[in-house]
Amino acid sequence: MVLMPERCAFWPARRMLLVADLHLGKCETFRAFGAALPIGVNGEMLARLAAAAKRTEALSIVILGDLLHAPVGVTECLIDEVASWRAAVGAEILVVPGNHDRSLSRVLGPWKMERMEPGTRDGPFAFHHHPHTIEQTFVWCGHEHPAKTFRRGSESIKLPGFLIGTSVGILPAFTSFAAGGGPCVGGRFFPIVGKEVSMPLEPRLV
Amino acid sequence: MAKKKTVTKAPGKSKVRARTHAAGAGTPGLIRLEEWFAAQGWTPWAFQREAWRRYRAGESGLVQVATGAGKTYAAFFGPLSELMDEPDERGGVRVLYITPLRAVTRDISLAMKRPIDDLGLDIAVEDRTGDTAAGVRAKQRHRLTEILVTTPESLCLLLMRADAAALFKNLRCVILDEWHELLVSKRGTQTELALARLRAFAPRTRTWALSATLPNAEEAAACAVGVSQTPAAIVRGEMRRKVTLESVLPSDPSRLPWVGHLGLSMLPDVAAVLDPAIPTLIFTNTRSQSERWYSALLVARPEWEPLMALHHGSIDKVERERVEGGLKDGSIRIVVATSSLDLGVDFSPLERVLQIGSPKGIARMMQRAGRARHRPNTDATVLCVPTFALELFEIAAAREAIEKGELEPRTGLEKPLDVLAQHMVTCAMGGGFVEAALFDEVRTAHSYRGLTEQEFRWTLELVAKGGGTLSAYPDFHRIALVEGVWKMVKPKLATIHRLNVGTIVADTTLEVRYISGKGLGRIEENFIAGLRAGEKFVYAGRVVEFAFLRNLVAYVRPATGVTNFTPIWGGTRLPISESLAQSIRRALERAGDGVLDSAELRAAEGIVGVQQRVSVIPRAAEVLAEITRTRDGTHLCVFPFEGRSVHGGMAPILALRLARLRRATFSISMNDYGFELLTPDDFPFEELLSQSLFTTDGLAADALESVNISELARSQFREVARVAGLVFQAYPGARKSGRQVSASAGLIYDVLRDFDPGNLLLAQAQREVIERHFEHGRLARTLERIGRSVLRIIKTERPTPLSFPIMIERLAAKLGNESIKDRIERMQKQWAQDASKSKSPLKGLNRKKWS
Repeated sequence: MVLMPERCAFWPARRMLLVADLHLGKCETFRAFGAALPIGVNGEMLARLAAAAKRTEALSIVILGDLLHAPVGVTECLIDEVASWRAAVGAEILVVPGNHDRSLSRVLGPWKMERMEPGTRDGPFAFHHHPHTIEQTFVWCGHEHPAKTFRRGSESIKLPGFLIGTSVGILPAFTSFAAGGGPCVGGRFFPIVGKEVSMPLEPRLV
Repeated sequence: MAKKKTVTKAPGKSKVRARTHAAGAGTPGLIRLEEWFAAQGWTPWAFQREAWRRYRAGESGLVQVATGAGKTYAAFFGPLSELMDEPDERGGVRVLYITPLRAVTRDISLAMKRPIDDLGLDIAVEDRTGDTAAGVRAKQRHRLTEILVTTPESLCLLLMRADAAALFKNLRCVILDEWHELLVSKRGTQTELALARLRAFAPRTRTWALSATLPNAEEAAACAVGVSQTPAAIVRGEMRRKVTLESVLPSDPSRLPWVGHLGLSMLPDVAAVLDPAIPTLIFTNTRSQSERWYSALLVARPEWEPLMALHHGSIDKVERERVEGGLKDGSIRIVVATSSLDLGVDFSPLERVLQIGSPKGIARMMQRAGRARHRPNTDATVLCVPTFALELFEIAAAREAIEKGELEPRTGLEKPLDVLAQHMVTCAMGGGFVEAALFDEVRTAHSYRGLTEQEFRWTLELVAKGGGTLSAYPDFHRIALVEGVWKMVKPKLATIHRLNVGTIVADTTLEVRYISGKGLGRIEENFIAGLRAGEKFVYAGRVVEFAFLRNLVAYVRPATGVTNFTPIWGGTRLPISESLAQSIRRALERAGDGVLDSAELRAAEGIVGVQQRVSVIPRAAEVLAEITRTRDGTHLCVFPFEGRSVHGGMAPILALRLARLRRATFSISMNDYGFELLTPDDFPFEELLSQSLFTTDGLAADALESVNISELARSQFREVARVAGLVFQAYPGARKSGRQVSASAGLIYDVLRDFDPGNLLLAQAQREVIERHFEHGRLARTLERIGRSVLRIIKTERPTPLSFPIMIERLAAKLGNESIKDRIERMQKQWAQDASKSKSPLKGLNRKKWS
């Protein structure tokens, strides 16, 4: 599995791209509550996903849950925007339902995506939204939005990244409009530093 | 120190007033009110009569007088006599009294009712705040009384009612209490907008503001009365009491630490000065400091427990009222308080005021001194308690400034668009508005007198369609145009707006309760989040043990034992004022020259000696810069002595200019005396630092750039986002729906910057940061002063008495031009170095090393 700075992971053997936590329609949800947030977050994310798929020549994209943010944010505009983006992406797209995906059934059709049951296995791997352990299998999941703050003296930098344990791998949130900061325990943390994924950094001094 | 006084009760406040001749015949109403005054044994002051007369002559204005000198009646009898002379059966509010303090509305309405009841007048007074009982509120839905006492926020809620215009169409008078306090904040701007609306509903409305003494009274009055043809009247009360400053000094001055804000090393000296026979108010600068001092005094003098109390803004209302009542009736003799007792209720029996730590400003010092009422013709004395050595200079400086009468001016804000956005939604709910009419109306508010049509349009677009004209956001309509009138059309959004009205930004707070049910007050969520069950902390003067959190209530149990764990509440620390800053520089120069002309300077002799030995004491015409290398990196400390907000603007500018000469990342800290730039690497400050870096050329551009790079605008955005309705303080109904729209203001700032960089709210956040740090030209004046001064660059082996307090300050900002990758690589190298060396050199360092 290749960890990519676009905040996704690629499995060359299957030419499969893994992403988690897109939270499409989050700004739309805020707008429905009267907060004037701009458009563009969804578009940037979709472009980044399409570019990653193109670079890797992926045959399939597996979304590890929280494709959507909230039902009220799934507007006609959003459905149209993603549908026209979808037309230009050749790969097959499979979605593991996440806790935010309450309107998933509304969009799977127009977006030509398929539901993938949580826990579906493929070779040595299985796919989930919430972190799970399954015996004899390495589980890829999302939900936690791993990010870690590195400090030295008075300086601190917060970076999203991948949390890779012995039997579970957690992807960073694909969206940049979400606070990171799951507990980051139970694995080694591979931060995204600029345009590359870094090896785990020195543990911060207490 | 302070001698024990024989306790003589000061006579009732009005009996001692100088008699003045009756100023001509008043109206029948005024004559009856003067008779009532006389029946109380009082004679009106000349300024009271002047205010009544000028009100009845149709003028608006400002009454400037010290607290407790009868200003409420000065403002109130004009409109009251008018109500008596011209009864009006049409209903609605005739007199509106606005106060920033919800807690005092009851006292004010009681004071208003006294003459009304005594004279048997058929005029009703009610108050309307968040604390008003549900039953009264339900009645107020149908009918509001002739006289209504309220807060700015509750007034906005009334303006949201669809029948707002009818409610206020008979309004004659608005009274603004404590205007000097309201004026300087967004609450003041919000009040200005509400007043503009009220004047549109009832053009005959006159406005009278009540304020403490201000050097810029004309400007404050203009903000209150709005833009009009006639200048506002200024009525000045004659009572000016002399204020003297003394300090409580340690018997051994070397006991005062170099750093620290708590000041507990002074506990024995303070305990020795206190005496329960003398009712005393002890002011502290933060809530956490008040908790610590209260606990410490109880340990030092356990026998005082029944006579002592704690008062701050997070303590439960019932307890606060008990303390205020105890002060009034004399059962409580010593109260440790924060600014929660700066304003409002007058505690007649108080005789002495202590101030722990720097008072930060001269007006504030005088206000606090004024809390102690003395026998006539005696001075108000404040006893200042320094918390660390450098504060000795501040006390000496404050005394000099008070003697010279150098008060700080207070100024309103310039057209904040977030407040305008909130006001537009309020108007859309309160019957709707026509665009052109609202533009004219808003421009009658002083703050918005220079609002351009373009800015107005943009703000309207923001609430109507989201972004600017060219980037309308799909599916976003907070308000909509219905037959030429902008209205609120979505009930759900109306509810959200109602719950989020106001401009006060607070961290999420939770209620603190005993499991048995008694409420203790409120506490910040972040503090509770870090607690484990069973952990003890000091709260409301008691030791309690955290039990569990349920439904936004933190449950605690009473506990025994001692703990020093005290919650730290958020809130900003006040910077020292420009007048005080000048005095401090003069006091330092005198101390440096060996002219020890006050007890404080004599006590500071030791620390002055150390500073002179390892560096220099800057003269008033010099600016000191110290360069120190420690294991943390290279420190540059510059000491303009201009107050933390100016330093907060100057430090990023200097950092930016240095980073242009050599790529670097600076950590920035500051206090009231100076600022520090710290680079983790070796950095050649001594080569690069020169007078030319302090030039005012390109200042505006550099300020903007440094504000953006240092992310100061990002943190300021929190307030803008909350006022403009981009983040929510409260949601209707289930918390679950709230979670979908919870995002930090910082994240929203990033989204706007990336996807709508032209958004004017971002520009406003920048402008607010710059205005705060520039303080109306103060930063530029400081740079010019440095340009004229001699820059003394001194390399020191170790931190000095001046630099040490800054080095241990909390980091305020960061500015640099390295990439994230560079920074991470450098951090890794430093971690490796750290691992091979010992602990931080700043730890364990204290003044003993020098003496």
